Amino acid sequence: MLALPLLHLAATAADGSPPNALFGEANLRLLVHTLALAGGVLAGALTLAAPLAWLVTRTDLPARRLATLVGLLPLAVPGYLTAYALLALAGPASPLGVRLPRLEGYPGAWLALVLYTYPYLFLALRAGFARLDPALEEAARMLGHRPGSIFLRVVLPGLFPAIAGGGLLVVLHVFADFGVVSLMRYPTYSYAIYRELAGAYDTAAAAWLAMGLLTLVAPVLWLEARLGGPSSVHPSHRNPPRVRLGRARGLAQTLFLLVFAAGPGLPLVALLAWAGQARSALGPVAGALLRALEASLPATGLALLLALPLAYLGVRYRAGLERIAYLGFSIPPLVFGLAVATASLRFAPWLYQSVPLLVLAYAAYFLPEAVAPLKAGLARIPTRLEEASRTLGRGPLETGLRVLLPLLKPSLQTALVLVFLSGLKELPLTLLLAPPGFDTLALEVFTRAEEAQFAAAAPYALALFLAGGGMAGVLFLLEGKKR
Amino acid sequence: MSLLTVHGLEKRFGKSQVLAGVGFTLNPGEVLALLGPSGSGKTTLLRILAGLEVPDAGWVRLGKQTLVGPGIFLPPENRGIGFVFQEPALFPHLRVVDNVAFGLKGRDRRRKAEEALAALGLTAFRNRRPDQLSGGQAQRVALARALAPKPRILLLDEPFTSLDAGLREGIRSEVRAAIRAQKIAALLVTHDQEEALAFADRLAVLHRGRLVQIGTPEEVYHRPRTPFVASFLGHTNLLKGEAHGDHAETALGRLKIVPRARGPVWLSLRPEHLALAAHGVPGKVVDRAFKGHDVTLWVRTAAGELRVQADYRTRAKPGDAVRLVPREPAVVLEGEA
Amino acid sequence: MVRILLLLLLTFSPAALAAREVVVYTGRSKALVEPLIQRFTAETGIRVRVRYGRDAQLLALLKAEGGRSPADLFWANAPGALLLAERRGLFAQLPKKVLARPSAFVPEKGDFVPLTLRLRTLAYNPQRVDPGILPRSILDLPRLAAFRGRIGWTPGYSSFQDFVSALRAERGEAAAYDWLRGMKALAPRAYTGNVAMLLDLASGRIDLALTNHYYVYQLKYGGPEGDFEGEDEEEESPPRGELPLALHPFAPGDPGNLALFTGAGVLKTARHPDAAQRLLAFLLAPEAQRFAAQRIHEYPVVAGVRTPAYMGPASRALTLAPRVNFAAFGDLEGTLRLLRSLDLF
Repeated sequence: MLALPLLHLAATAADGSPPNALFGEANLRLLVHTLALAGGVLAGALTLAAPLAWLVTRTDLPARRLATLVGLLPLAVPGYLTAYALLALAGPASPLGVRLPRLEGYPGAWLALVLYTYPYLFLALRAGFARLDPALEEAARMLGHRPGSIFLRVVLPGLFPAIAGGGLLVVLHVFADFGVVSLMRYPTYSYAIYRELAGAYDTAAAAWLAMGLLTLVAPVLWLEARLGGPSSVHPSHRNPPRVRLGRARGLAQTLFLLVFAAGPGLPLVALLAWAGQARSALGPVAGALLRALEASLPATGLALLLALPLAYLGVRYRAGLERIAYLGFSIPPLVFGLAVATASLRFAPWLYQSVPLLVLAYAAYFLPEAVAPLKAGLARIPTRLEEASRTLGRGPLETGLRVLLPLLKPSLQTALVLVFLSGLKELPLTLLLAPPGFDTLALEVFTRAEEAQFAAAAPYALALFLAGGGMAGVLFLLEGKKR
Repeated sequence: MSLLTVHGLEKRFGKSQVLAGVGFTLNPGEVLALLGPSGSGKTTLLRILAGLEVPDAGWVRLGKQTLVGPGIFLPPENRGIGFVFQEPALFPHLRVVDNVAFGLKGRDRRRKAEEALAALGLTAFRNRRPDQLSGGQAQRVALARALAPKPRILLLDEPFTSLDAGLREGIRSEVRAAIRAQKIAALLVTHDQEEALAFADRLAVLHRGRLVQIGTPEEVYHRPRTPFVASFLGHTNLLKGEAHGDHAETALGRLKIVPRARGPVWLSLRPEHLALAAHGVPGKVVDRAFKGHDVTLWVRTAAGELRVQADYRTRAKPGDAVRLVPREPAVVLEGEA
Repeated sequence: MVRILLLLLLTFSPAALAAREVVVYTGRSKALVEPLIQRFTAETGIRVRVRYGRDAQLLALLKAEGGRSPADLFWANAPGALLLAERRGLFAQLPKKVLARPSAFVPEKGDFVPLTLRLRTLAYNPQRVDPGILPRSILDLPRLAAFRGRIGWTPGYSSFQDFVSALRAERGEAAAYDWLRGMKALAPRAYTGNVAMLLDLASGRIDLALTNHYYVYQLKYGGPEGDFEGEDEEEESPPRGELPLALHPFAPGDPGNLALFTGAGVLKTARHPDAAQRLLAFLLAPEAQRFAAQRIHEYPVVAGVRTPAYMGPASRALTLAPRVNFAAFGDLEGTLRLLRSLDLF
């Protein structure tokens, strides 16, 4: 399922010779752009995500669960919508009534992508902070280190697996992004692929370029393997003490408000203003929502089911197998979708153009978003617990169900939200693989935004935001209430 | 008939041979302590018995059932062996009582779990979560959890090292009582020789993946077979000598030896087997440590610096000239001198 | 008796039942297609299932599907895609009845029909630019040195490429090269999409933009929201939001006014070719053409359809547009080679 798209990619590429432009100056420039943007966005997302994650795990910030939800809400808004909103807000017909500065080029793309991707790191770091043994920090303090130095020398290394896992998702998203960078006029390598496909109708050339992108992904995966390697961090039985924010409390809350305002807030305001001008009925919106749920909910379940064994093998046996999943993620969705279509036509024609096939494709494509948090979660569970369970007469399956699953709950939650939100927003795979007429929310939003009908797109976009945010809200607001 | 039979176990991790042909037996009701420095293969041996590692060669039999051998591997959950790890390894998502009930099946699992808790005096903690327990409490819950399914053998992997001395003694006697009550056998891995001597019916000393000596604590202590065993278990003075039947010529003069031997030999002479006297080998006190019940002296002699356990009344202090006499025959060790 | 039985059999045979459905692959936005489809179904009872995508994606999918494709109709958004589909031999011959409907742009082979027209144009921001200084020919655009860095264009977009193809065919390779080089010297701002470019034009970030006429009207007068009633809408929707956008037509016949057609053909592998042809006929009927004109702001391809006053009649649009040989749009590769040689693509 995962190797298929890679094979298809190679086969498509073999159809034509490598485009001359593959190593041309123009593409090299795009490569440099891509790397500069990925590096910058990673640094920016980390700078934003780390303090937010620290605030919700290690301080007495009020309404921490709500703050957590706010931290991940940007994932519920498609990136291109954020970019369109920023563009419109900078224009004379700004829905806010006030014209914001028009951001573009590197700063524009950087800002939009940081605000859009930091939740991946936020969620990973949130789990990472909770796992760090506070005794280590205390020991460092006793050895005479100042808080800053403790953070750099003790906390940060302990967070490496989380940073590697979340950072990988951020980087892959930047590599794959087309909507944001094209609206911000900062062409990256994905533009080259788009150009060959949409401009030149040349799938072979696009496949060659996609393979070029894979060569970028390989070193990133290697880096992730190095950083995310064995962590000798002992799981702690102790809940870390919460830092009293005191007067800084207001400041911290302001920070969250600011992040919310700049992240999902701006597009939301624009959407609400647009929705006010819209004159569309609720029926079609509900239908599109139902179809989106029909595809993304089972896909989420399937992705989690597939990710569990992969993550387990990856963590316990360092099999490295789970990295194949990441390779699939870094193939342009169009190529991925064509591969699935071709395979289905050849091996399972009865599945072709069916919702189950779409579900399968979603699950395979978004697998990394489930694998990454599960890997981090599993790394946090000492092998001892499994061994203890086995010596107490429980077989591997029972051990998995009774020991690993309950302990993985927070990671499963994160994985679920990530995959679900991605499925809800997904467009290119849906276009290719869904049965004709199976039009999801994302399609309804995109088709209107593309034609500059922002008011007509707004109700669908709001439904998408509410469905995604609502699911995340249910999971994170109810978390811990059961205890 | 022995309960557990271990034969010819070999295990290699990459380039290092961790176990090199280990074999022994364990009898019902017996506590065997596996003693050895860290890296000697103790924990690996225990994990093979539990089924958490697979040996490269050799076999293990429990009663009439082969647990592991050529072509045979019984997974850990089917072995009926209890395991207590170095750290408690309690399931953090379960209450104490649910942790103990985890290995139990059937309708009366609740009741059995309560009994196991009560046996170790843990009933008061039944509803706590593992993170609300102290280290000692957690380790006792782990013990109750391992004992609750009534395993045929209990494996203990240095379970007491993280506890303080007082707790350690208490929990040791609880383990003893439980073993006696359930008529099971136990294998205790430790690097704490005092614990091994006090707790075990028999001792097995592992060194570099080999079982170098097995026997009662007294046998192993008083008649060590190799210089390693002699110096690892308690303190000793190693001497070179030329053996002539029941005695040997050494730098300390002629010493009685056991067993009889001829030719160049290594001899072990325990500190408590040397005494200060008016005659004997001359030496000079180099250092002195007061231990309460006795005094340890380091005396420089013609045979090198010797450790001497002296009477608590001795006044000898560094710089004094003293004379030493052996009170017991020296023990002849294996290996050429 | 036998005849009646046969008739019954024909009526209820799978083929007849299947004819109640048609599957469309279209590179056009759902927003532009959906109201027409709904109207068609209401009129004929034929269910239409649509796969939306971009022309290129759908062509790739059609290639992967081969003979197993469930599609009956390919409805493209650009002449380049239609000609590519024609070259790949995807289209079946259309009946004369259908081919006779459009007043222009019917291919010699008769295997697809044009459905709507859009004109290439120069958009400007009237608050910042005096249209009096704008040239009569697009070929003189490179002379506007004052607009250095303030012109937007979309070199990766199919309509722009079709324009370059036409320019090459009309004025020769050298002229096209000189024009592109001259434009490049003005450091134009490249966009991947027209909407973003026009939003920037309206906000004053740029002053001129080379685009398709209908994007400007979309932004100024809104799109095809709501249900299409099919009635002749006398009132024109009032301009919403005072977006400072205006169109500058070049002189009649200038390549800058190039007319580009969207269109569709019935696939050779179609399982419901009859229903597909009925849909084509519907899309060419006055009612659907009027919808395209009034709601999408594209020009109709059949005669006698009213357009909103601000668009001007289709006949005027056609006098503005240069006469171009179809074959010009077929040489996409030559155009891409030229753009690449100037590092524009």
